[in-house]
Amino acid sequence: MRLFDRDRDGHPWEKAFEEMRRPDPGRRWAVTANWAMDHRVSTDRETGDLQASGHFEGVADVEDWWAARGLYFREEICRPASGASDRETSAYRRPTNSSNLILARVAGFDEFVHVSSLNALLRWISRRETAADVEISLRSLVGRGLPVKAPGFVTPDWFDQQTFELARALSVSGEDAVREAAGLLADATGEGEPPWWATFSEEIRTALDSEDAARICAALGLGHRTPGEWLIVWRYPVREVLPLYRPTAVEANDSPYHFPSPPEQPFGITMPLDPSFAACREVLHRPLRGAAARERCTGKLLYIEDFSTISDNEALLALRAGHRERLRREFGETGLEAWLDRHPDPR
Amino acid sequence: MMNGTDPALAHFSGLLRETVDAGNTSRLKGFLSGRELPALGGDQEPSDIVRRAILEAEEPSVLAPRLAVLLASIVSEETKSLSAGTLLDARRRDLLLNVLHVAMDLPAEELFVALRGLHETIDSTDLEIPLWQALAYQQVDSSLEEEWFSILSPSENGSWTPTRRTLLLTAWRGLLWIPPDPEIQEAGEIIDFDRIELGLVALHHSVEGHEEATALLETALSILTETYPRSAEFWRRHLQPQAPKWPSQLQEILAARWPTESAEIAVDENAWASELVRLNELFVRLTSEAAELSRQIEQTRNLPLEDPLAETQRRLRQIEDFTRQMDRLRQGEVDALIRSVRKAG
Repeated sequence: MRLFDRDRDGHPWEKAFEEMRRPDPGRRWAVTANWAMDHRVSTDRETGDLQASGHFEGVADVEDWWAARGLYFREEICRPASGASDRETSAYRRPTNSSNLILARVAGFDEFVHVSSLNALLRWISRRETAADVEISLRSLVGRGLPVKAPGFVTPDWFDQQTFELARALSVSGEDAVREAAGLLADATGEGEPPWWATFSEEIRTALDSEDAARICAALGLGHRTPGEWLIVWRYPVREVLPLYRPTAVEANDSPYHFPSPPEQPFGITMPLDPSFAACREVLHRPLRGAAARERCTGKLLYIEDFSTISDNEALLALRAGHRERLRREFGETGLEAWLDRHPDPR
Repeated sequence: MMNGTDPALAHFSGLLRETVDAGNTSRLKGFLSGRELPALGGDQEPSDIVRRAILEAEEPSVLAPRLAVLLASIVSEETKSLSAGTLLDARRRDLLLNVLHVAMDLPAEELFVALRGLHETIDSTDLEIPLWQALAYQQVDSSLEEEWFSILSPSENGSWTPTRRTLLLTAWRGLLWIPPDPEIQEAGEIIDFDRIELGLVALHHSVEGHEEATALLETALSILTETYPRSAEFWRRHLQPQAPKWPSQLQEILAARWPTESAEIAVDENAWASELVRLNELFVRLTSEAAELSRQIEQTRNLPLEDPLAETQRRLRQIEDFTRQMDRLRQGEVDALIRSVRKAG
């Protein structure tokens, strides 16, 4: 067995990873494949953080492992960027992950783009202690509050239906209103928000300029987004979100749309959903807050429609195969080929 | 790429239905702990994936209540375990959070008793808000009325935090979501106005003096009207007779929300009348400006050839100035006027 691109025969997770050698209906094989090949997770992090967290104790099969992985994400990644202690700081910022601190001297004036889902943000906030303050502020801004359940049985899609109405009200009110909302939502997500994933905006400028939500999702590899969601977009200078970290499969959580970047690459590399798009460099950083979260929002809410994600294992395998070719074309050195050969995707 | 349902989610929806059909609480507990969930990305919690799976089912309205029955069993099991002294560790806390998040989306009837039991047993700040939120939506009787009033009343330590404000609005919703007694409902009465009045006054006492007081009370009235969609006349008729007994701040907020009928009509008439006058003045001004521009253009066309170039340039600049002014008029005043007329209407 290989784990984090290291030989680990006899590892406690061997049975779990063996179960995922063939594509499963839940697509979890892609996540275990990523964990197997992700050289970016150092030994220090593996032992000093993942194992030391205790969440992976007693893992006997893939279900144990899958549940432990999710709990680790919620308990260890969803922490402040700068906590009072290492344990209280998000795991990606701990000393055990220092090998992923990006040391390349990126120009502070260069620009990142981060894309989030209004639906996901509202759902996150509605469960938290900041819900009332957001409710009051939104009503003051556009006369509508957080999605609220009406008495009587409703199907669980009431939240997204009301989010649609709120998004329309914000859009009609203008870009300043959208920015104001973006600022207050960013501030309200709280310290448990996971790090922001960002790419250099210039790499997808055409897609961004199109303001076509589906196109942006395809360009950035956001296969987890669905039609009916609203995107909020922030663009901001690099200097406002330092320090930067290279992402790993651990922060990618349960995403089958992630692919580890090759060895020796200082940044993450996105996996676009369409072969016509080039891959982008991607990073992790702390979420924007305060005036920056308001001012750096583009002021546009983009509605996702006519968007088809990768729908089955065959398509996902093809996407990953195409991405391997893309990596070969872009990076094409010997180390890359050996790494890819060590980790063929399941058949 | 293909359109349509995510097959990974559809597969999981099938597993969920099987689990509910078999009454398998252990497996449902596993789902809500993260087991057997599909890889969807987006950092969704187990409760989000279960919620989406309900929507993918053939008949979500049939699946949801049956799921609620199983969920109630899980809540009761966990309550029993916690009462026996089992530690509320990260794993258990995570499970309960996801249980509570799902509970909010399910129909009431089955979960209320179980959730009340959990509420009486547990003492965890992390679970406080989700538990109150779930309880608010799961009520089947008025047994929590005192609890809601207790939260709405001024806190002993006078804390004024985001958590406190969220608890206040949750308790207010909880009060509104108390179902009517069956006999009263049969008589056609749904809303308990005495309860609403007491709740508003208690809420006012809790928030008075704070910067957010007015906004919070206005939000409470908005929540009231969204919970019970009724006409403005309905609310005036039922709330205004009691209002003179209320604190003045609350009276003002009520009056601003639902002005008395004659005042409302008078305000509307005045609003409309003044807007119409402004509109007329604007049209006169635009017409006059257009006429002037037309004259300037004509003059420029008819310039004798021996006029110096400077004069031509001057006239062209004048025309440009007029054009810019008219653009400003259009963009600024007309747009503002349209917004204002819409608001008055």
